[in-house]
Amino acid sequence: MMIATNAKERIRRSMLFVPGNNPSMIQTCPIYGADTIILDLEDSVAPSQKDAARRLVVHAVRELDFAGAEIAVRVNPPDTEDGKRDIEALKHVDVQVLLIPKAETPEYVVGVDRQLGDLPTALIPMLETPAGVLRGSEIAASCGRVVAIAFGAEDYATSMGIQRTKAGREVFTARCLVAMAARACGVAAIDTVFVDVNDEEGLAADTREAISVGFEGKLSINPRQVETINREFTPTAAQIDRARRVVEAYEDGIRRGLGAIALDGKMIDMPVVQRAQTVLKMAKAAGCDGAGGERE
Amino acid sequence: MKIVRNGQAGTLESGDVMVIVSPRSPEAGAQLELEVHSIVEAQYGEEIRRVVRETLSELGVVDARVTIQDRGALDYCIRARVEAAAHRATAADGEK
Repeated sequence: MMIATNAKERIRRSMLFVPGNNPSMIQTCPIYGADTIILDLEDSVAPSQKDAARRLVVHAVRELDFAGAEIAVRVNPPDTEDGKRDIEALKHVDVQVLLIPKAETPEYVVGVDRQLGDLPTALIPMLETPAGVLRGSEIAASCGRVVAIAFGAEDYATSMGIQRTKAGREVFTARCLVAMAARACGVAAIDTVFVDVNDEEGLAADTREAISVGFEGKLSINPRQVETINREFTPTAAQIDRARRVVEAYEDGIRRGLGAIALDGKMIDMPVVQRAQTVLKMAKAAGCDGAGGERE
Repeated sequence: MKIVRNGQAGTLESGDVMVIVSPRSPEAGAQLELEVHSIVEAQYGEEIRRVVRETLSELGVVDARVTIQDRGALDYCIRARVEAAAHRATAADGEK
């Protein structure tokens, strides 16, 4: 099995859930600018409508134009009949990523890997329980298809028997563990949803906190959240400018055979250069690497 | 595919279509009976019928009564709803 070569590098700032049994929302979702559209067959579909949603999603992926967004599907838990049928049905259409809910063991993900055979589909396991979070690095490293792991704070809180708060102190440790597990395994970390769709400032603050601990993208449950999430994950013009100067100074230093390289009176070592390169990569992927549209 | 009971799929929400597939009387001879109600009947009635017939043909359904209540569904949605309703109208318990 080989996943698409760009699947790991792909930018996934905003990943928008769209209910899989709602044709109106499926048809309009491409206009909101999410990097990834997640057609959902799990929580947003009533048990009696799983078969109808599965067929709707298969035909939508086959026939609709999603305007360049990455197409993902959140299947039902793969150890259920619905989950197995979802994966089987989706093998016949061009879905780039499957989100695997409630992953708690590496074997759980390996089972999906085997079911997919030679298809190039990538996987994003969702860590939504204490067991899943604690085995995050094993799950992230379970097979070559895994391009990211995602944190699901709502189900995690339920499993822990704790109340969610807007400040999120109760899930902070788990969030950090998910980000660390992802980084340790060279995959992206995707943050949990922010459930108050009317609180744009709260969403922005929550996204900044996710960025501060190492997340590279965020799940979203409402199209209105996409713009804010994309903005927060896109480097500012000042950050891009600084990153360019760091990389240029480093390359110049290498050419001149300098042992120690400095910029604006501060030493530039390899971690600084690597962070600058990541900023430039994000900027390029977000389409603001000098072609205009940078954040102020 | 043999239709043995009523199967319904879809909703009356905008952009969706409600499809009911039912068995016909065995004495009447095998045929497809289509009844289409659509908010865009004048412009797209024929196209809706074509998509419904094509989907039923792919499923091997040759004898059924099919009622369509369309709320402006695109072709992919019509196909998906006809498929779901037809499968729900068969005796097989396999793929639901």
